[in-house]
Amino acid sequence: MRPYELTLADASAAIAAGELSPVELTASVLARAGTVDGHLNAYVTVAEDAALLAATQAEREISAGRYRGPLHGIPVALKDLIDVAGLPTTASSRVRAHHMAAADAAVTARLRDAGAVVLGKTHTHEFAYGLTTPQTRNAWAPDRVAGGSSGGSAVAVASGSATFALGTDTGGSIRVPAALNGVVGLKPTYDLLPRHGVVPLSWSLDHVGPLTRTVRDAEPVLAALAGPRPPSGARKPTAGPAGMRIGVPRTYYFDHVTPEVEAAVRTALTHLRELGAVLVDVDIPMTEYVQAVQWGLMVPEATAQHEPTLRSSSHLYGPDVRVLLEAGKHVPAGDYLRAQRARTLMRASWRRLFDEVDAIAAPTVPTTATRAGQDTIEWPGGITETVSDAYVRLSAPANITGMPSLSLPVGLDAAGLPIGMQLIGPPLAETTLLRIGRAYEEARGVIPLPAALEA
Amino acid sequence: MDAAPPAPTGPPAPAQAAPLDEVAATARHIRTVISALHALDLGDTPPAPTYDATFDSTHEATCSARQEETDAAV
Repeated sequence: MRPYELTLADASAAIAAGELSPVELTASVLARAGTVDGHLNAYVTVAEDAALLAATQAEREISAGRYRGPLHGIPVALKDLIDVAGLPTTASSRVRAHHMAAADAAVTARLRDAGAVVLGKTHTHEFAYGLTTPQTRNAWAPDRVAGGSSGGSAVAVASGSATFALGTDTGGSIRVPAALNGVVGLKPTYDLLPRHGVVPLSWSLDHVGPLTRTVRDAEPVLAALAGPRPPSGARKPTAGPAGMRIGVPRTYYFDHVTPEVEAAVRTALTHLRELGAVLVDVDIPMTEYVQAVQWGLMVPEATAQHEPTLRSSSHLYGPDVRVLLEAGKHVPAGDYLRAQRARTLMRASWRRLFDEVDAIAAPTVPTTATRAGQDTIEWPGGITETVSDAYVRLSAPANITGMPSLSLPVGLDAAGLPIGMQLIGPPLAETTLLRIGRAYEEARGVIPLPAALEA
Repeated sequence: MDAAPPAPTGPPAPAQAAPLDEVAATARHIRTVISALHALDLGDTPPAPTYDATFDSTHEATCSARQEETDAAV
């Protein structure tokens, strides 16, 4: 196995045992990016010299007995909304083409403290305001969307061009591309991880989180990002899911979902039951208001965030994002407050749901990766939905409520495209979600790197 | 992100003036979606500007301490 093919856990174990050097690993991952990124376009910037320098330093420290932990010497890619000192944070937009970060974002600093090697910056849908990341190709099929907005981070991890990555999630932007590219994505509890130094889209819905090859890999990344005194949500998981109550939605999450996605998730639930989990049917509350609350919060917040640059440089925005930002000026303040008040009710009703169960399992997205350029999805019954609306539909509740959600691969469809399942928990229940996800992963195995890239 | 009415179809390109009719149509669509909230009886519910993780953390710690006291008493 070549170093770039290793999971974070395996690479980390090999480094700790002295069987693999950080320089060898980083060089392998950089070479992989050099081979595949010309056509995947996951990266905005690859900081090759700086990465090799950091890897060399990690190697020296480890050789001198100063091993920092499981991320020491591990290459990471950061979504290009996250500041890295000395590199531009472009948000994949011409608006920020001349930006230069003076300092690291808080999460970047924490990764560096843990000894991680920063490889570079990955593409986002412009300013994270979209679900497809059109400039990046899906790692499993070049004619399919990468998903977004953290499309570059998901594709980098899926293709072996980064051992792990960070993304941001305002309505699914970590979990959607993770599901579409067969990797793991964790949106933690709101505010568990610091957003300082991360370009906002919508302050009250934005989250930073990891994308990894495996659930097991997500654990040390979350622990490092949560800082020196992690709250309960970032503690190391212990035993498996035996005896845990997993909610299976009777409503919403299996409506307008492709049969293959539904079958894969229900099969995964059967496996969890075999591992000792107790499946409990649950009714999801206030589903008819999910889209209204998500838009009522996100649209005015995004427009307010961009107000200065909409005035000074509106011509530099891409057409889709500019129209959305301009349209956001017409949302009345009363509607924004109504969305905030509805969020209060939604959060309370979801909190009560977790009196009955420890976690809820559901599809991450209703369909696998659509073809690039496809605008809509037709559902039985003559219902048409835009691709963006479909991809955000099942993710948004966890953003509105602030509750953690972990997406993990649970199979492939007939076209060979990955299918994702999400586990949603009550606030600060990351440990529970990782515990369930890891037990599933250990029982069913890890999805391989995409065969399409090896051809 | 995310929920974006018109699905994007290509990489960000240099934009000229945003077409007013497209902005107006998108704004109408957004307001139509958000107007679903007008049917919701909000009573005296206060707004939730952001999620406060420290509240749940404190609440969790308090519950856990109470549970430990109960366990010790038993």
